[in-house]
Amino acid sequence: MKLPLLLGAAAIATVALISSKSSVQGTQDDRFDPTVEVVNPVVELPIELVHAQPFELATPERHTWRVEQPSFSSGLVLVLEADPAGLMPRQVAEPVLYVGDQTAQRINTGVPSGQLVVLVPDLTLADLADAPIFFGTAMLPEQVDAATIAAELNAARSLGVDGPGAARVGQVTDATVYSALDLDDLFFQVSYLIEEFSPMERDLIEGFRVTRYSFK
Amino acid sequence: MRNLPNPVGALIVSAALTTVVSASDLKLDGQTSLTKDVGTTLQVDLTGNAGLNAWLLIDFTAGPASLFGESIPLGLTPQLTVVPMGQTDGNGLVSLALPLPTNPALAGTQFFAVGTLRDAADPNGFDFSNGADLTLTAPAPGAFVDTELAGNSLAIRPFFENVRAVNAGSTLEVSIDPLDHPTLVGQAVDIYITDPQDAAGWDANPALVQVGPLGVTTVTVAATGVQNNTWLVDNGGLVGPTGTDLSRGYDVIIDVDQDGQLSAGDLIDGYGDAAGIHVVRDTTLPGPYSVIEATYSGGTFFGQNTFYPANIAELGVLPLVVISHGNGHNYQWYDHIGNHLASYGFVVMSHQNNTVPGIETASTTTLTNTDAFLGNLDTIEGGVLEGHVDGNNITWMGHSRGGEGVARAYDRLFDGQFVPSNFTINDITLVSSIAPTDFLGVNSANPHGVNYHLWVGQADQDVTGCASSNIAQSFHLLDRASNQSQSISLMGVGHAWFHNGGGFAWATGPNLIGQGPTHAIVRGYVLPLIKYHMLDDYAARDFLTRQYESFSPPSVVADAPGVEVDLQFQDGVENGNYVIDDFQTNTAVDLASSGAVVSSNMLAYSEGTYDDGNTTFTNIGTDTFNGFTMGSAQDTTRGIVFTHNASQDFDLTFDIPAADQDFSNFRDLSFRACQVTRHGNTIAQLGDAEFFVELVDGNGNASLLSVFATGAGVVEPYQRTSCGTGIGWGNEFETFRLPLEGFTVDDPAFDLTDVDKVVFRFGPNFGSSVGRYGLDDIELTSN
Repeated sequence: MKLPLLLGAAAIATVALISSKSSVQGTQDDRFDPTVEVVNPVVELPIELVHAQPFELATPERHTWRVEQPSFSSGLVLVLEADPAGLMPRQVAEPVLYVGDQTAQRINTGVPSGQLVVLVPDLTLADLADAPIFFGTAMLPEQVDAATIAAELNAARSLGVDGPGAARVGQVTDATVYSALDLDDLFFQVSYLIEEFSPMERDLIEGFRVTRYSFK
Repeated sequence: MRNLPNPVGALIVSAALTTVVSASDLKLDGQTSLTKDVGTTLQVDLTGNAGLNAWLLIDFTAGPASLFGESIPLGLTPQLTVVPMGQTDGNGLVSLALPLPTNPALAGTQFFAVGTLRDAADPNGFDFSNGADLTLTAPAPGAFVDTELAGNSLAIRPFFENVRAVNAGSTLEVSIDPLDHPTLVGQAVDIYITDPQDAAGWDANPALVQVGPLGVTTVTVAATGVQNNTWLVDNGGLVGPTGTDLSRGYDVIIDVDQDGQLSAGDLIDGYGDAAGIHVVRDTTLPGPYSVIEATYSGGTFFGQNTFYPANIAELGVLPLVVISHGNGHNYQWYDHIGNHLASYGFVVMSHQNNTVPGIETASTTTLTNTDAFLGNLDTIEGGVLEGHVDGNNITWMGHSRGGEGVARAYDRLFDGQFVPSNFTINDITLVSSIAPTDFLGVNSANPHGVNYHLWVGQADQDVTGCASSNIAQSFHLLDRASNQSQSISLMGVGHAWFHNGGGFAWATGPNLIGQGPTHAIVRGYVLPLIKYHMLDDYAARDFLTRQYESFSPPSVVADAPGVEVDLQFQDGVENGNYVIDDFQTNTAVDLASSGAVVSSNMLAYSEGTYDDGNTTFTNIGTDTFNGFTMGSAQDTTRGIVFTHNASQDFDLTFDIPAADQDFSNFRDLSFRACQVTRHGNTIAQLGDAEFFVELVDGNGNASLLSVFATGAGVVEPYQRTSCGTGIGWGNEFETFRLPLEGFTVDDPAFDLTDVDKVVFRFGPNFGSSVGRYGLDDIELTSN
């Protein structure tokens, strides 16, 4: 369940670069220039499906990653693989991740592993096969509305981005349903998936496993 | 007072008695009969014909007696004293500020005075004025000379800075300007450092008890010069604060009559509620309390990492600091702030922040987590915090997207778009943004009138500050703050070093300092910042207002040697500032906001919005406001920019409106200034730039101070590349506060009650020979 060799090599190189940066804090390193903007994320930041698993919530939540903020209580948890350089969290606008006609909610950063864990509200395994997975124009997801999604999806399709296909979905699916109280509980459960795919994100993982109080 | 000169005495003896109507007029403090306290200064005004030599005759009896054949209202006793007054001016006026004796035993003594002018047109050659009398009184209890005494000597004029705070272990000096205290010249006085008392305390207990290890310092006041009247009174031995206090206060007294009591005529620094000087702790070091860290969740996006003193049960109600992390960051990455502040008695809660969707969602999690925290104190940690968190005194700190989020959260409260259950907008004491983005712009990312603070790392590789993106220009938020605001900008500091999560530093540029030294600065600065705003700590203000080069925590200096730290500070409107020009109104280049007429021979002078006109910092000449990133095109922040070369001296002059010329009730002349990045003149003298400020009073007396009197000059932009061609990052504003009293040092004639012009002087004779600057927020401050 790995990306093609070329992308994988790039990912490894980037991880090495990030590691070296981390170890030399306090020194200047001009090899990586994050001010370089990605012009066409659909093409420049390919992303592959590596895991799919359904979830259900006992308490509906709002999908805050688009303007309409629809309520949802089910969907899919996906693990996607991409060049970690493209996943590096930014404070400025980032390419928005789409799965079909929905914005995906990132749960981890995917750095440095290149393994990004997301949830997609109201998406089913059946629909996933035909849902293109792509990075669209850099902006804030909360400012993305249905019209934007449609336009981004059309643009991606015109560039030849298709869904992963039924066969791929079949290969990567774990049909065990996450059954959670709410998103917080789902994140607690998904923390083990993150630990499997992106184990270096220790603070994030542990932050999902803390004592739960019943807030009023 | 000097004895009568012999030639005049001879004339007295030989004169014959006549009665002449006087043409001249004498006034003492504008009156002909008055009472006045010993130790004060008497204003003497004598008017007559222009261009005549004048004297003031003073005696103990009223006469009348004959002089030059003329009857004058003086006894002409052997105690008669003659004081030369100089020459009448073109309007026939000559004035004298006459210091009265300080001895309280003289209370009740009456003096009589007559002015005289050597006037050839007068039949006897002298024009005698009317008589005037003065009765000395004792000061009311407590009416001592309450003045600033303590501080540090300076190498340049005004040669001394009066301060609120010194670091523990640092030397302390006391200084007076003998021109302000002429009666003390030649006199031996004792200088005491005592435990502080307020006015009531001193009135009830005036005994002076020295506490400094050097003992009482006895000095003799020299006739001239602040430098000759600056004395070391402590060599670092004063005891610093205990407990969670930021500082320990002391009062400083010059015991003029050396009686060991605070008595009339003595000088005291600290007679009021605030102590005269504060010895502050190293603010980078932890406080006295052990800290408990708790990490828990109250549900979706209610993950919280809370720090509180282990002995909180004994501590009453503590202020709350809420931290909202940035995008891709984690709520557990602010231990360096949480542990530090909690060790000084604050409760700090860092929460999961929903930053990836955007700023609106981030602001929601700031609001909901604050509300939920306050609403669940009986649940969190078994209720240990219940009754110990002050929900009426909250600071919001946010990082990057979270830094914009906290401003947006405040804006939503301001607009009534979010109504919390457990706090109100009035409970937000301070909003502090660390390297914030500006996605939402002026209408939403807006701190309005809350106390606002900004942190910026000039090496930030994410929220870069480059002209190419308004989203990445943090200073927008600072200039939107409409009331009290301040910033700290750190050269060599990257985006990620503000948290403790490690990983990619997001840092580029020269002299990178790393995470550890960055955290030392954060700890050293956040404590006084929070103390100042949340606990009204008097001494903490010095950390925010004085140049870093003048005052900073010693461990920061040790941990980050050579780091450049630049501060801006603007008082709120409630402090009664007088704005000479903030360039927001009266936008013509020749008219200031105050109505002052502006004249200038500066080159390439322009007034406009502080928004770089294109997408780079490249110096192309046509981009008038190159390097300015204080606002977007939608913002209203304005200022001026100008150039000077070495061909001559240049000036920028503000003619102060007549009604506003009394500067004596203000403490400082404040303004912010920057060098313009990548400009040839900036590059030509790369380093701290110098210019001077001159005040000119109504009599034409001019007095100059260099910006270096604040401890440093105008810093050059951070020498970082990219964002176009050339070297140099965004224009780096700093606030300069020149003490108005400093303009009177060694210049007794200068009149702060009648300041006609404020002149900024540049050029070969006034510091740096060339330069291009931004200048803004020129105002008088009271605090």
